[in-house]
Amino acid sequence: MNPSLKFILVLIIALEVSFTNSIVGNVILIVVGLLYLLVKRVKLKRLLWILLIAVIPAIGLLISQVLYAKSSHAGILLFTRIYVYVIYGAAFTLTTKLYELVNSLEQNLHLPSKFVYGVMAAFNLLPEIQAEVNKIKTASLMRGVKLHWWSPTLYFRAILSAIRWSENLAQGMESHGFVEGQSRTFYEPVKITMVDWLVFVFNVILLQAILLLL
Amino acid sequence: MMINIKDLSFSYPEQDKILNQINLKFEPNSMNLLFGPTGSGKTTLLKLIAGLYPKYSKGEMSGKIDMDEKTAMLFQDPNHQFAMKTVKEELIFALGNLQVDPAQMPNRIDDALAFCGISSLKNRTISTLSGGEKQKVALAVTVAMKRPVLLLDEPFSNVDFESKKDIIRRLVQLKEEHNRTIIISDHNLSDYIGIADHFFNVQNDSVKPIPVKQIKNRLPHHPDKEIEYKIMSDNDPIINLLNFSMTDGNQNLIEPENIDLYPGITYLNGKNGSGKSTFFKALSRLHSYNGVVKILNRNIKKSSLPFLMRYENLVFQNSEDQFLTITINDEIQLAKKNAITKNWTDDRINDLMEELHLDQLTDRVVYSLSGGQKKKLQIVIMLIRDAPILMLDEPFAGLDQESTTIISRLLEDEAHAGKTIIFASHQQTELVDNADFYIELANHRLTYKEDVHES
Repeated sequence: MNPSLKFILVLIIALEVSFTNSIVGNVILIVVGLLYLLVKRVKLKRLLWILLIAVIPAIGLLISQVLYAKSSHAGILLFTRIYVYVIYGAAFTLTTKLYELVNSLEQNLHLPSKFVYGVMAAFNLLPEIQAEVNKIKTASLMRGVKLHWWSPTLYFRAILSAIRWSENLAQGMESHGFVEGQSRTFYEPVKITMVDWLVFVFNVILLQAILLLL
Repeated sequence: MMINIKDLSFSYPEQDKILNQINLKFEPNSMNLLFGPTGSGKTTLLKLIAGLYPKYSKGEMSGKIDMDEKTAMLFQDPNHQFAMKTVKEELIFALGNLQVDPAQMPNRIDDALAFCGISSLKNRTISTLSGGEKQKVALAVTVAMKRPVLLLDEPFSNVDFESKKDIIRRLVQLKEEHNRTIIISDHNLSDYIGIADHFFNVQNDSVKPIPVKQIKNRLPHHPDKEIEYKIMSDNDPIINLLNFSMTDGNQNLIEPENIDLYPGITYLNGKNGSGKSTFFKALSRLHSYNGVVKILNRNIKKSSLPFLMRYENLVFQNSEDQFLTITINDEIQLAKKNAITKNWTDDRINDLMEELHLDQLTDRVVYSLSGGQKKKLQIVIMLIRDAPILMLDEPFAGLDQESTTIISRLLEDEAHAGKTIIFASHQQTELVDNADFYIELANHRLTYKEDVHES
């Protein structure tokens, strides 16, 4: 499915779920979401890990509702709601490549390309941040300075690195021909096909049926 | 494509003019070389021509740069100039910006990569590439863009010698067959004799054309010679590698190996991407490895990091990684405070700062220094720290001849005083000639070499 449409669909699901009170609806959505993830053959270990992490806020909400609001219905509702969010969040992120999403956001939703490539560059730098922090710590030890995670110098250096990266990147993008607002050509044009639209509309209608009729 | 510069002046905030009333022409179909001391304004001039300054600086510009075509520029610092994840995606991004027909993209991408001899890097993630490889990728992007004007700011400072010669030869071809104007800044002129059409000396806020004949006279005399290195030492080894191996995540960089390193100067040589920086990082525990590394008979994995860093220090390839404070003076004070020995007295430090022309800049913010000035300051603060083992990753990148000589001499003095100096460099410097040991990193092996023919 087209990544932008998929993104919008997940947003619609999340929004509607926030305004409905059907536990059965939530459970059906959870089952459907899990089936989708299994069909898409996402890494099971990763999925289980995500589900496990979500237990903490979900149980927290459940307990607080049951104990203080004396409402087990509200507790279970919020518990299942959290899982709808988590599973559909996973359904989106685990099955969409950032590169494809960004291409689609730029070409289909016509988001400003500055924003699109800024986000992309920031994401590409993420894996470097951990290495950067380690490097800052070791480099400081070489200067005889021990930086702890609470040391202001560590944050000063990290923020400084980030600022330098963004400055260099802006110049790098411009020297690679990027001009804000100028039209671009696309190596991999991303289209929203008829099938994408059909799947999208079908899913939205199905969602209404599940949430409103039950 | 004529570039006509008229009465161009530029100054950074609260500094004297770095360029003053420059009048200069760059002819179409020409290769031009900018040289001059570090901090003299080579990068500034290139960024002004590229139209990046004054936009991305807080400086003030007056005068005019007349040209009707666009430029592509390669930056001195190979890091963080790419927006995309992989080499191919970055090239697609650049070509997309130029509104190139997608059908033409694959050919242009492949041609540009082949031009720079890096077809094998096409699908690699940029952040995993070495400094030299990144420089080649940046060059490939500028080549693929086919802009009439190519601006290359020290494109070869981290590039191995063979690749450099090869790429220069291809740039000439590009110039002649496609009518490009190429402007390169470099400290090492010997590779451009008989190749570049014009030489310009950027110095003391002016830019002067220098006839090729005079350039020849300025070159340091480098006769063909056989240099002999030691393969054994009377001293006990200071670093032992036992069954040592490391990978870059995808491929082996060094296959299991036993090798000892000795006090004195060791020159580590190897092609771009062979793993020199990663090797230094492994010894500093910034990169994982298999096997055992012992420094002074202690397993470094079993030593605490603060303890280890009193014995071995690394001068990073990227100077900014080493800075912790704001001004030059702050950095020097911090270095003095945390020095391991008291060998560096105030007088010695002041003399060195003067010799390296840093003494007038002590109030400057370190990040506002030129590439070469940052490198000099970085080496000074690590010398003051005075750890018994000093590793240096490309310490001469961006340095002019004068600074290179001073720093080579200093490092030799340190080695004579008993220190262990291990350095990797692609520049042919005095320190290479005067090293005690030569280790080549090739085909995933570290090998001591006895004699090396240098031309």
